[in-house]
Amino acid sequence: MLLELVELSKSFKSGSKRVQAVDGISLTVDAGEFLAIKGPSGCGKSTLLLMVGGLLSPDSGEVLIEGTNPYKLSNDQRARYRSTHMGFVFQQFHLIPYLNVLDNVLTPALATNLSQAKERAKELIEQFGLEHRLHHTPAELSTGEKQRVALARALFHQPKILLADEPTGNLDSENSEIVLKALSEFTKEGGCVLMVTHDDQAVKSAERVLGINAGRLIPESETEVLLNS
Amino acid sequence: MSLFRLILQEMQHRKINFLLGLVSVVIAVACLVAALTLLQADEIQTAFILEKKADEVKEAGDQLEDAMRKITKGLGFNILILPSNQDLNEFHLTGIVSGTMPEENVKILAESKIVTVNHLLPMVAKKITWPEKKCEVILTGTRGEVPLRHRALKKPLQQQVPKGTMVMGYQIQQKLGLNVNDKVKLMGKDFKITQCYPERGTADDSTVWINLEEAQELLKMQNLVNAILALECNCAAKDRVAQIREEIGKILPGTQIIERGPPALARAEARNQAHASAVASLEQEKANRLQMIKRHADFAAVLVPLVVLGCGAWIGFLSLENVRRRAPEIGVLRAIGLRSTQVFGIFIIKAFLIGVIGALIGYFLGYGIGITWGSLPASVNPQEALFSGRWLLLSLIFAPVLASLSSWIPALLAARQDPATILQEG
Repeated sequence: MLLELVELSKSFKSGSKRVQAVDGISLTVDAGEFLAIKGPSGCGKSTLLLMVGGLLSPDSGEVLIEGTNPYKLSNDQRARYRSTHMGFVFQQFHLIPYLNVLDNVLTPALATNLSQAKERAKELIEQFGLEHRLHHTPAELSTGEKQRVALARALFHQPKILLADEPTGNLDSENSEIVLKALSEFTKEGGCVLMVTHDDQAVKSAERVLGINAGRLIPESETEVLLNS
Repeated sequence: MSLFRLILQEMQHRKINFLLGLVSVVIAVACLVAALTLLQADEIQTAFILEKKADEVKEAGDQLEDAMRKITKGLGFNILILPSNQDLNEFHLTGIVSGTMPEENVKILAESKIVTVNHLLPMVAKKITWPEKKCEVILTGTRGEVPLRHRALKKPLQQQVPKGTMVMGYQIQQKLGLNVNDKVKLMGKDFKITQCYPERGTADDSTVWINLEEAQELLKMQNLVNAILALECNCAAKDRVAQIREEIGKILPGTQIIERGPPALARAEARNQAHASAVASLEQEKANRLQMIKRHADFAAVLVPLVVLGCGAWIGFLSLENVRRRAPEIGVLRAIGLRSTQVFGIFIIKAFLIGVIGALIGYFLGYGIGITWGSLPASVNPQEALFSGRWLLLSLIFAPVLASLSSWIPALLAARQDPATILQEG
């Protein structure tokens, strides 16, 4: 078991009310598994992903990655842990606008001193068919290319867990397929993918799908019904 | 990929933000350096002007001295009218007049229609031992000039010594260690020293002058004088003293006339006065220049901090704007593992770099302003005279510190931003 979430909860204050974004979620994900969590907007998908990624501490419950709770590490240790164990892919890509493709893929190297960083970045860029775009800035790329650059950046440190937040939300079907294929291949190499989405097509690439609603996971049997509907 | 490269790329990308920040630093440094350079130019100019003025004053002083010499030479000579009972041999040997004559003689002479004498100064003089100081002096009492009735009043040549005051010869002053404004007691009477003469090399150096009436009282010589000094005597005759003797002999029979006070002495005094006037003029010029420099320094002391504070605030505002614009970037950098100190470093290093570049440009701009507006004498090379490695170094320290301090709070805000909030906001 690579990832275990135990009774994870998180609430936010919204005006005078308190909104329960994630409410007692427990689940496990094994190495090599592609798990999709599907749910409508505002159901707590992104909050769950950020908590797993060590960016948002839960109110209660635990996140365990190979038995380590990242929230028990200091801020600096957690930052380093994040850089070596996790990769992030976002719907908005979040590429740095003034860096070219190569430098964007190399940004994770700022957090660590990886030798052969440039070679690794070029290898990934080639893997995603972007070698002709090496010195182009994000503004010069298509949306599909931007997401492929974001994916290459996420895979730079060969993380164990890839956290994808609506990775195909802004892509056409062709580019979506490329991204989803890359995610699947990542799991074949032993990593696990946790993807949150409301895209039915994207969900089909996952090995396991869980539904989420109002911060709570829907049982797998009910998820089948949700998917079919 | 390094933080430094990231910072350089960002500066290149957001040129307006970078240039506005740079301009602020340049203005602050240029203002500081220009103020310092202009003040230095003022000092150089002052030194030059004073040197030139000193030469001019010396030249003018020399001319004035020469003119005074010529004027005094043509003005006439001094005579001493002595009582009939004065042994001239004794006088020449001791320089002291022991004989006396009625003070009334001065009045008689003043009321006569004598034309060869211009100024009359009755006096008593006696060699005494100053009891309080145990020191031998020539005590001279002088009344100042007695006006000649038949003439229009001329400007007096010699000032009267006012009552209660004392004028002191050089040797006495040196021997007793006394100075102007000191109070002394002479034969039980209090006096205030109002003047000390410079060395003359005559019996004057061992003389103290007090008011005639007080001297007569102290020496118990009421209504008596030892001599009458007649100054600026004019006489065209070859044997001028003989002619004056004849004229005065008719008015004051029995009195003895001798020439007194070599003209050289009068000329020397005139030259001394000319020199003193030149020195005073030079001192005045120096004081004016120093006052001007102080005025400039005071103005700079107000202006420079205001400009620096304004520029600092502007840099802070630009940094804050930069942090706000880069929020998604900060979020993703934190997500991929950058520590908060690294994020802080991104903004502080950027500010530091702007400070260094701004310092270099600002220094040379301020230096250029100094060269352009700091009016230096033509003989001085402004590039060499106004360049200061110390100020360049000061700028290279000051500007990065200013920029870094101004960006400190925005950088802290960036480092403390919650990446989850930023990424959730998308």
